[in-house]
Amino acid sequence: MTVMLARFEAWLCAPAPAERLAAIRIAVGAFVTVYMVVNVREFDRLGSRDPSAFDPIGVARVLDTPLSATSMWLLFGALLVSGCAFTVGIAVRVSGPAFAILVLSWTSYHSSWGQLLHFEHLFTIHLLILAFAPTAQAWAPGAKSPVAPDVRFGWPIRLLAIATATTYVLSGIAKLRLSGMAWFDADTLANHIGYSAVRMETIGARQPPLASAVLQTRWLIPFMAAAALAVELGAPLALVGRKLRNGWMLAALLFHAATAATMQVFFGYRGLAFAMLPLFRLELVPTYFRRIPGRGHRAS
Amino acid sequence: MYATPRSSEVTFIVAVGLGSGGDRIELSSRTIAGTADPLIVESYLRREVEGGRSDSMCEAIAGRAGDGRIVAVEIRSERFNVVDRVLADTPPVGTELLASCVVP
Repeated sequence: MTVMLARFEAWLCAPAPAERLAAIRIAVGAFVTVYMVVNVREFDRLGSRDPSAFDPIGVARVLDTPLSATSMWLLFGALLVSGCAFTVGIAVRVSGPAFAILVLSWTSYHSSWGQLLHFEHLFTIHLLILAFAPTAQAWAPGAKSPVAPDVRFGWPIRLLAIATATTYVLSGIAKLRLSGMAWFDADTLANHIGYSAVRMETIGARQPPLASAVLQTRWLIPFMAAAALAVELGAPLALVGRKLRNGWMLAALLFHAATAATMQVFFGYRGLAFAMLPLFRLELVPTYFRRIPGRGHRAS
Repeated sequence: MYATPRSSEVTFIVAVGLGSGGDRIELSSRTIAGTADPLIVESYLRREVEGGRSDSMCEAIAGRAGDGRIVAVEIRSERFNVVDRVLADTPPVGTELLASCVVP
């Protein structure tokens, strides 16, 4: 047990380059900032909703009544300013915590109308970790590079990876706890696929492209259910080694693509692999770009 | 929500537009709830009906549905066998009218 703990501690506290953490700051910050812009209509919609439907959760519980439309737009503006500053690396000791707390406030408020929006939880957790980490020691205005790899850059990245893996495992545990062995019979997943397809139809949208095909191939469904559970419960394998990480990530991306094609459910932060970035040596990305024929020639 | 067992028969709260001849015209998610997210649309419809606000929701949707073709909006509870619906386009196994209103 002691050996295991020592190995875990060594893994958790492995030094990492400042550029890796900075790359995650840029990627996650950019994703969440763009996400807010893409969802700008949500700020407008919630600014004019019937107050009686307000059912606050999380930090939104400090509110007795919904925010006014003006407050919603002020929140949106503050999110954009702090998000851009954090992503670029300007005053991150202020912009990082400010952005993380504003995102936490927004996601709590967004889920305070009767529907928990799970797809906003993981990037909020990631931002809360990044907000209090030294993410601007590289690839930021005024950064003194090069900085030697250090544990202070390493542990936040490990924590981000653990958070990602944990969310998948929790989803898998929920399936086992709530559905048990019924998860593996054809009916459970078939009914979910049918439910998602009819829901799309009732709101004037097209049914998911592969819903009908999968429901016609019913023998396939238990295997799909088992594969989905394997991806979720197997997420910690991605923390172990490079080959397992690559294998798991490929399976996870296929899982997200299949969920989109059969149920029209796509969570961008996971499905576009932003959630998996802490598993990779992102500091090497510029090197890969320089190796692209033509680009390297011009650079030299 | 995808972790729990689900029956093949599911009740949906739906908002539908009616043309001048009484024909059904599907409303978009933005017309219904001002958002493209199906989770939020579904939650909005369910919460408003459960909160006894079907009539006010109907009027709010009617206010957004003025494209000239739609003359009225209805809020209905429709029960489907969801698998049969996808495979064979079967009609609802049960329908209940919850609210109706004219498009201003």
